[in-house]
Amino acid sequence: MKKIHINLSVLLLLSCALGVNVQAQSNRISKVNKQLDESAVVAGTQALVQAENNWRSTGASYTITGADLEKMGVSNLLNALNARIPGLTVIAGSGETGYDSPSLAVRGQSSWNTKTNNMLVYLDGYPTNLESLVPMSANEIETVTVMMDASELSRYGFSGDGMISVVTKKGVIGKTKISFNARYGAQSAVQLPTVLNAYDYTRLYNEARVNDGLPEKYADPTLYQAKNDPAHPNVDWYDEMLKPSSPIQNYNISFRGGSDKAKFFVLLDHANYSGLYKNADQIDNQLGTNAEYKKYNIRANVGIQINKNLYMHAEVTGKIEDRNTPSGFTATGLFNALLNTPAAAFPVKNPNGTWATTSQYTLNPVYMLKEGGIYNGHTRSMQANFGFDQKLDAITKGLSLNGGISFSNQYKGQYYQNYYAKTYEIIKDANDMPVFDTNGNYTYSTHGSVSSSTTDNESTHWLRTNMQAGLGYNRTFGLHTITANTLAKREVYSYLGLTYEYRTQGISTDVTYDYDQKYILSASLGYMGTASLGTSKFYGLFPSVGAAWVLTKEDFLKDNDAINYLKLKASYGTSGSLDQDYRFKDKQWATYTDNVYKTGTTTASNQAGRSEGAIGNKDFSWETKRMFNVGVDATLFKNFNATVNVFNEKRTGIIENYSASIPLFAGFVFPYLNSGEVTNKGFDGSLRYNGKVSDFEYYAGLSASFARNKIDKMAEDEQPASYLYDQGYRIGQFRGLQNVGYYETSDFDANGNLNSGVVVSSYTKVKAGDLKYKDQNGDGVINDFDMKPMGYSSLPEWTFGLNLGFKYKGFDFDTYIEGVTNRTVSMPAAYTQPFVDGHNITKFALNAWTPETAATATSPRLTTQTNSNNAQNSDFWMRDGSFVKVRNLEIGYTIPQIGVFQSIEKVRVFANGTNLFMLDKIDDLEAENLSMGYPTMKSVSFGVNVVF
Amino acid sequence: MNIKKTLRNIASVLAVFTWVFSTGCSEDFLEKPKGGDVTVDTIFNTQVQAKKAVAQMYNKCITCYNPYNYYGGRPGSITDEIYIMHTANDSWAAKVNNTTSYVVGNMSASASCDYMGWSSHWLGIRTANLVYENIGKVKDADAGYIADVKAQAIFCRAYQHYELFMYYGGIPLLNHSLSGNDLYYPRRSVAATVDTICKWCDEAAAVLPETRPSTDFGMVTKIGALALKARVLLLAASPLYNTPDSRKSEVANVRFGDDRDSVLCYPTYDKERWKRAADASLAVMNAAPAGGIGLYDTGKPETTNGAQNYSDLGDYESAWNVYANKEIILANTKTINQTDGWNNGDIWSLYMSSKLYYQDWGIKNIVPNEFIQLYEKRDGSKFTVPESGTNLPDDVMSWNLDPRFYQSIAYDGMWYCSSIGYLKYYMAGDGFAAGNLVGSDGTPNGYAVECYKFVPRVENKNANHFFWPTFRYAEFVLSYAEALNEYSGPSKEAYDALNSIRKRAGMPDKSGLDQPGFRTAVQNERTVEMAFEATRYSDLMRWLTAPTVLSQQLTSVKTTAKKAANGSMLRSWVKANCLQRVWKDKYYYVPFPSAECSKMYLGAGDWDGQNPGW
Repeated sequence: MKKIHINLSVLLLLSCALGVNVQAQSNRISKVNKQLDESAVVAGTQALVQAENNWRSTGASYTITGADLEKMGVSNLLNALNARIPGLTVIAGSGETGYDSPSLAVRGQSSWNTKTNNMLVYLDGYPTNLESLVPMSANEIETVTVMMDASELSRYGFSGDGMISVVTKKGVIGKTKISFNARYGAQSAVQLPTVLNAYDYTRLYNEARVNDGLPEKYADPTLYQAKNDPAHPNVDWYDEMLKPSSPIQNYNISFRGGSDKAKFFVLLDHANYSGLYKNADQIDNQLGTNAEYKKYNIRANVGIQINKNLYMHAEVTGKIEDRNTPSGFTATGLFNALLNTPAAAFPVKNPNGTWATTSQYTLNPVYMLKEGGIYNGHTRSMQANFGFDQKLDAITKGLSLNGGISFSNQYKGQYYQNYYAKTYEIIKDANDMPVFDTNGNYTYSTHGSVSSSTTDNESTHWLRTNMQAGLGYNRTFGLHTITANTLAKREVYSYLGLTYEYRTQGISTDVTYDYDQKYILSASLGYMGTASLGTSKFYGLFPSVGAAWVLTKEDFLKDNDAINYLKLKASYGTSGSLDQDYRFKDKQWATYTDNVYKTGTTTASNQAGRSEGAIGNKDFSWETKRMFNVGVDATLFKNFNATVNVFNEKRTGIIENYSASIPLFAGFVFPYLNSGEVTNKGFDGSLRYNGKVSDFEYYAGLSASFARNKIDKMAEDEQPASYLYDQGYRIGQFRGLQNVGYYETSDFDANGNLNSGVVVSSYTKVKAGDLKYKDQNGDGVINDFDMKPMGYSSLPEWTFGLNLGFKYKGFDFDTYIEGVTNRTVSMPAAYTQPFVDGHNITKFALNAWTPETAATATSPRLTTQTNSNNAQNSDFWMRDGSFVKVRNLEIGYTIPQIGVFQSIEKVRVFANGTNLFMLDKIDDLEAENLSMGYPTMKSVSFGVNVVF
Repeated sequence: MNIKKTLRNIASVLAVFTWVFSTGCSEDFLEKPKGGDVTVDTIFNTQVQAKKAVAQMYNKCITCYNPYNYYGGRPGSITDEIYIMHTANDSWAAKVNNTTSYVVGNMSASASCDYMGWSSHWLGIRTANLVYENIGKVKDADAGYIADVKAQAIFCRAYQHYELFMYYGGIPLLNHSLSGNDLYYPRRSVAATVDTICKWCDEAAAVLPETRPSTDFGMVTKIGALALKARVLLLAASPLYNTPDSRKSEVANVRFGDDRDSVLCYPTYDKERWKRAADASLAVMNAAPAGGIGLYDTGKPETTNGAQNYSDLGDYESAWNVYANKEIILANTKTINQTDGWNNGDIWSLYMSSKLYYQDWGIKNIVPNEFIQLYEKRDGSKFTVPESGTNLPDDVMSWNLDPRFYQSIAYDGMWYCSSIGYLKYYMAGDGFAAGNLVGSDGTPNGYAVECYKFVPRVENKNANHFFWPTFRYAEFVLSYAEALNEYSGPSKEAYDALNSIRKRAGMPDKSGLDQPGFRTAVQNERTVEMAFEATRYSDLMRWLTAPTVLSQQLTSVKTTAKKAANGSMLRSWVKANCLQRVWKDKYYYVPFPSAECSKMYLGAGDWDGQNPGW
């Protein structure tokens, strides 16, 4: 039985909470607050549906609440967003806690320059970086909103890649409410690849050698079936290295309350996730360690009503993330080694007690874990906002002045120690038998040398400062209501190594008018400038217009039993986007290179070089996106809510380094032009049904999004066939050769040459059992000109989310299921192509081609030599990347307020599972994360929510 | 409502914001801060900055075959000098010149053997033209400096045109940087190409100094400009371009038979071109002494056994081991001793040039038996590699070959240097474990002969002294002998030149040959003397010997451990095939990238300018 490891700090938090509770009990006003609390839960379940409360919007945005996110037992807030928000695609990163940030894309992709994560990120109304959201706790979040259309984005100017806005919980007037949340559980890998044992490895390696016309390498593969024969090892590296599961824990406590003078929300949060490495707890921490991710998170939001008209508020947060891992390798490197190191390569330790490696397989994972050193990465994030709101009714009714300042920054540093020692390899003779010395001991060759190093440095830091001030206006004249905001903004962004700060400033304005809550018109305008263009062409004007019509306010639908609420809306407008890699392209810059040349005879000295960069383009500008959105919000039969948006986006001015049609002998580096164009179309929406049968409350929600892009214009070199152009296809379109079986023995003559008429491969001299491809252009040769577009891209076109749940008496149940489709992935070579480049052999190659199995083979002939014919991109390696995952499953029970619990407002216990079930079309691997690095994790946890 | 109080609040808040927004507003907030810009305009303002542009010009124009990026590889790998062995040989080991597809007849317009690649030549030419055009703007330089840099720029431009000519035939000629308005420069005739390059060489030679301060070693001198001219004229006089009627049938496959042939060859044979070539080489030899250049000949033809120091080396081996020795007319000084990792020169010594130095998974550069046989025996007689032998190191020594063999080629069982000792390339056998065969050997194979020219060995495996010899004096002595023989037969001057190289190498004089005999001798001498120094490709093409040499079955030697009667280990060996070379006549002229042809600027009218057969 393992010791359960609960941090001292958590106990401190707990006792602190109990202490405050005594005070809280005295001024309990339970009834009112209880209702408030329940309505918040209902709001949570209604997330994603833009119903009446959002009736003035003419645009497309989706909001979910922190309550929804709380149900995901993940360490990284971004991973809680999986399929939660229609139109937001979350692309899984590594599974390694602390390094598992996903990539996000809003409504697919509309430019090939768009890196994912290029969206604007706002936290409490001020810009920050996506990574600063990572350590946030769901318990501090009020809402997460993703904005997608012109009506929402234009006012921000350079927001063409979408926007995500997080609002944290603020204080509320009422008694101080203390919430305590604790979660403890275990996580384990969703799936690990199946590698073959030493006997199969050596046996099949011999087969591959014979296929190559070479002598067998292992004289007797059966020797590898023996246990404990160090000269013929059979090591299950995954088993040696990994334990089945590792603990996770997360605790937080928050205080929320306020009076008419001041309101506050304070949160303390701590999480500790430990890694999967085996037997890593007892290791001397000077030499080795397990992986561990710890975070501490503090938030303090306060609002003060200075007087009747002036309200001032501040949001301050600080976060510490510490990551410990074994040093000398990355998790990806380690998992590559676990996959690639054959069971027969070397024993964990030699008979003489030394660590083993071979000259080919130089990384002994167990050795590196236990004695390789430690790596410590530390991240410190801080954001401080200060803002005010001054009512100016004195000047004219409904007018107000507001603004604020924000600093947001992050520091990342690392400290690591590496230790290297000699490793030993048992010497074997030509018959694969160990060579003994005269005393009958094994003889060894040595690898590596003894050394150590220590590094302590800053890896990066960044800082955003932002100021904004503006006027708000909100007034109703009879049936006419008008609201308007105008905000002047200035932002500076800098990071380590940046010569010139990123600066933006401008004004954003929006006006909304409604008549009798029936007809709504809106207009917004972003007038934003960027210093990144370095010309007088700083400012861009990004307008949008929108309109909505609430049909249920009309007489003909008023009080309709079936249609309780119906709104049609449409918006059109533009926004800009400027990738940060493309700055100052209006000017021709000289590039600098160290040590291009040496001169001198005695002490030859390095000469630095300067050469010209791309020719300047004085008209260089940002990319522009025109967005058109039409949507419907509806409530039907009282309990059925729906929102659907259809969009059409056109991105123009996509930045390209145009080279086609200009002779290369011109020699200059071509200027960057704004010449590419992409269309992106699709829809997103969600449906939700809330029902109640006596005490049984239940809900079901379905969300879906679809986005398909097409490159309309792209500068490309002339190609001999139309399918070789990227233009006309989607961004990131998979391409490859079309597999039509294997070369058969009958395709070759007695000398091993291809019979005439059989298609020739330009990649290598093929043998029977190699992949045969379709000659798309009919020239008799398979080469790059036969590569056709196939499948989709790795970014899915369709994303679905299904949310089901119920509440009955004290019980509650909630589950969230994600599905994606129209996605193509390619099988990793390390898994599918055995023996070459030092690869191991996996289950994939068990049924490889041989003359006997030609008809039923599922992989090409085994070979130990690089086979560039088989390794080409082809549909043989591509797979349908669709998958369905149960992201979350939670069962809770709220203890009735009787007996000892009477004085406590709420005690809820729950069991939660994350990523518990999945379905995909790939055997033995996980479709979502094929990269073979640290696997995706699933978790089971138990916890308690207590509200005093 | 207390209006006064409200207004006071407004005023204070506004004041704070006015202050915050106004800081830094003295300049426009969005204006990029002044200073720190280095644009092309500012480079040619001061000598310090201009020097960097000049360094970049050398970097881009004077080819360094010690590769300084990941994809390098021995230039000889597309000839019969080297067979690259590595499991990944078709991925990275020889990517720079697409060796793997080249040697089996699969060179293509998208993957040619041009070591630098089509566009990089033009980047170099543009850099040289920009330096030429802008150096006059440097404010703190005198007229002498400016004239010198201009002459260097002309030379660099000429050198890159020469490389293009050597690969492609007639090419566009560019003596100025293009702005984008005038982009129509079609291929020019061989005659115009050669004459223009020579004219540029003359212009440069007229200004360049004969010697430079030792701190400027690596920058071109007058003799360098003359050497380039000599090389171009020898190339132009050779049968590929200056085809005698008797040999026209050999190149019939690479002629269009119409006006377009002017970019491939001279319209008619002219013997005087050999005279021009001979004179140009003689000019190099005549100018050399004033620049301190000459044959490195101290009268020590052989390397001492167990050599540890420069002083132990034979003269031939010294000529590329001793930094800045007298034989070097121009060197690319990008030495292989770069310590900043994988992306720099050390990959040459560690991985690309041999597995010798690294003693691990580096590439094995096998020297085929067919090339070894070009080395004569010490007495000048012809040598043939036997079919097998009992102990390779003993056998190799007993062959008693040209000392230059032992100074460039390593083999299993050879004592290499004190830190490595004896090389171990043998396969396991008779109870002996295999030698130092690791995954990089493809499959542990026992191929036992490897080139070690330009691989650190002496002075503690010191890599400091390596450079790439762009022009080495010996080449021009042999060029002179060759051209003279073609022009007027084996004269005394021709013999003197040839035998001066042989004498330095420790080989007996040649005598009594007729013109074809002398031709064979001088061509063989050039092959051996200049082995692995990137001249072989051009020589095979211009002599029209490529079809024979590059269609051979290449073989090497494989060793296996064997137990001798006394229990010691012998390296028994047999001949083994390595590669069946495939030659195609269209290889004589390297294809232009298809995308470039499709832009229709290389040719005239409907012709896309592509070379014949592609």
